[in-house]
Amino acid sequence: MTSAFFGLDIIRRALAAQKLALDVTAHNIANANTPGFSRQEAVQATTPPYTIPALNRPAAPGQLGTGVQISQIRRLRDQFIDAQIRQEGQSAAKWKAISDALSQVEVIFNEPSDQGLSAVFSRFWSAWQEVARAPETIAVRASLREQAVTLAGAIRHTYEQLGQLRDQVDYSVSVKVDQINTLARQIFDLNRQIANIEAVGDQANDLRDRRDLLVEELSKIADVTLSETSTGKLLVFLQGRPLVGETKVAELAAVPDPLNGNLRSVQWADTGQPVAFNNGEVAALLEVRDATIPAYQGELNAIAQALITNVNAQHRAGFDLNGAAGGDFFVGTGASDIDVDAPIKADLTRIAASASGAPGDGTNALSIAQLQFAKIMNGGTATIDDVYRGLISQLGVSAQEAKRLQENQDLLVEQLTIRREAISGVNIDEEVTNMIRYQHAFEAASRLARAYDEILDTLINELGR
Amino acid sequence: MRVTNRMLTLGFLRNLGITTTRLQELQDQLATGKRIRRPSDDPTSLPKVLFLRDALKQLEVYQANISDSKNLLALAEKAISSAVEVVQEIRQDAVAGANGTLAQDSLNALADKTDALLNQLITIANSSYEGRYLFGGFRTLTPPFVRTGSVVTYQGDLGTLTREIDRGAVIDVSIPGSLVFSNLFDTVLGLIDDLRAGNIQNISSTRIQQIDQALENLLSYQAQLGARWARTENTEQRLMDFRVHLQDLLSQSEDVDIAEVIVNIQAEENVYRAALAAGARLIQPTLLDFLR
Repeated sequence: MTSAFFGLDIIRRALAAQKLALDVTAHNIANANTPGFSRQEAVQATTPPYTIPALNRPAAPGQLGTGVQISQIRRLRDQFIDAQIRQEGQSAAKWKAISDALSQVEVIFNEPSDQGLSAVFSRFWSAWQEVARAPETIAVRASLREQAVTLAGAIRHTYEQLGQLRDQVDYSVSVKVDQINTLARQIFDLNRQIANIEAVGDQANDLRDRRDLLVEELSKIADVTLSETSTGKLLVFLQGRPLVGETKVAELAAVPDPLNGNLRSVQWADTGQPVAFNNGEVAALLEVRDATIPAYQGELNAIAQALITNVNAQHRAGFDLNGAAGGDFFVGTGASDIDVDAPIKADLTRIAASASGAPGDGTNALSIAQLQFAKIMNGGTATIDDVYRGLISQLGVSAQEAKRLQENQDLLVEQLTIRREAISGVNIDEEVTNMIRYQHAFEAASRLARAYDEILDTLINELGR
Repeated sequence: MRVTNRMLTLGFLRNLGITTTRLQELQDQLATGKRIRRPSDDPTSLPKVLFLRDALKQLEVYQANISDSKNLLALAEKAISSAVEVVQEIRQDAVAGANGTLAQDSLNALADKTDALLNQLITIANSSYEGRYLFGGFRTLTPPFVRTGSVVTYQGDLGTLTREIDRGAVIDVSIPGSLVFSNLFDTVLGLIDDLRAGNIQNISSTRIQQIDQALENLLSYQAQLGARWARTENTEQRLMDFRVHLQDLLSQSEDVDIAEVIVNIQAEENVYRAALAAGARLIQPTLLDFLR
């Protein structure tokens, strides 16, 4: 026979277990909106039953249950979905960065609009036609000068803005590198705490949640790979080298590279070895900075050069209003420094509209106006307009593609997040149901305590009186 | 599947976000009237839009060139036509002089009158438009003809003003004055000399014939100018039709269909309201509401 107080012990354990389960429920409800939180469950299990097999075990039938205990507090989490979210989130972040940059490029080119280069070019050529119509008239020459100054200014401004965007992107690279370092240090700290806690057999649920959140952040920035040690430490690798190692963090540095116009190159802070990125935000930023923007700048530059060379050649073939041979119309070497030649800015009669030297002859101005349709680019296969329209069209296609891919990736991440939420998220109704469950179990156990109290009362006070 | 409260609110917010984004896009389209506001809105149509805009701008230039050409051609034609009238009067006087019945006094009077008519012809040959001389070739700022005593000098050159009235179609819009008037002036100067000298024989044998040749020359240039004017006019009509066509194409490529957008906005608004209503029902209640 078991001891008289055996039942009371079961009740004590029951009360403790239900109270603990209720505490876990309270924690869940409290964190219903905490990012990265996964719901926890107090796993209830029976305590070891009485009696254990032995030679001297009592003759009473067994086994007799001894009550309940909380075997562990576990978090509900699907590591596989986490891995998928990290993977797809990385691509989503990459396309978002590219899409953001391209939409800024779109704003810079400002097409289609009356202020875009296309319209400014169009007005420039028309102004030459006007001069061809009335070459003797100072007023139309003045209007041509204004259009030419506007065109040169618009080309320079567009080129400059692309350069500024490039600098901005470059700065973002350094910000992202700082973020990588910060996240790596935080993950390293959490690793230590988690290892300490789990060494004594506990579950570091909330710390793991926090670490998962940090790793998810980090995966968006860089294409890191992960591996968890048996002690619960999460090692983070970048290009095969540990960023977060077991014993230390290897930090990254964004160092100005004199070979690449002092744009920052990302390298390991200790060895100075460059780091390559294949996916994630930094990869996107580097691609935009080193390939996308320079390509647009290059095309703009080619357009400016074709404009300068061809207009100047034709202009030099003509004569100005004073009968003198024409000089250069534009100065500069490309899109960065194109401008109207100073003598022409100062003296409108210097515009060489005449092919013969006579004032009423606008033939040369007409020849310059006809450069609009001359195939003077891409080895004589395209006009300036063709090339520019191609550039804008390419920009549109790239921007649209990036936007679509970003939207697709976002949708994918969202679907995965919903799946994770279905496993790890907190459902208030469920928690309240659990609360009622545990509360009733607690009340019932308390009621049992009274029953035992009465039994003992009978046994101790009434018996043998 | 387990559905959590966070899923409900996140889903609700996401759907609202999508609907409001679409609403905003539609409102933008309605406000600007344009379907393409940045290249990525429709990269395939955009080059066409830019091309059509350029083409329309170019058409404006051609149309301005055409109206300028028409003015120049009409004025030159009108000048030659007045010259023809004057020359016909001179011819009558020459015929009267060649008659042989007039005394030298009368011949001198005829010579004075012809002299005045010559000055009138020179004035006609020096016609200008907007400060630019019509018959001076490229030397549009210098009067083409100057008379000093019995010599009329051509100060212009042999340049011909041209205008591009359509892609690659360049037409001449002036005729160098020397081709039109130089022979005429020499003939009239000769006639005046003959009249003063009483050289009637020469007038009847050569001068009248020369005057007829000059007249024919004038008439042929007049016809040429008239023909060019007609050609320009033709081109203008064609370009006007073409312009309407281009505008139509441009409108199709970049303008929104207002009716369609309004209908779409209405539809989105309905979705928006429905999403709000659904959210209001879903987000509010929990089990707690029923446990009182």
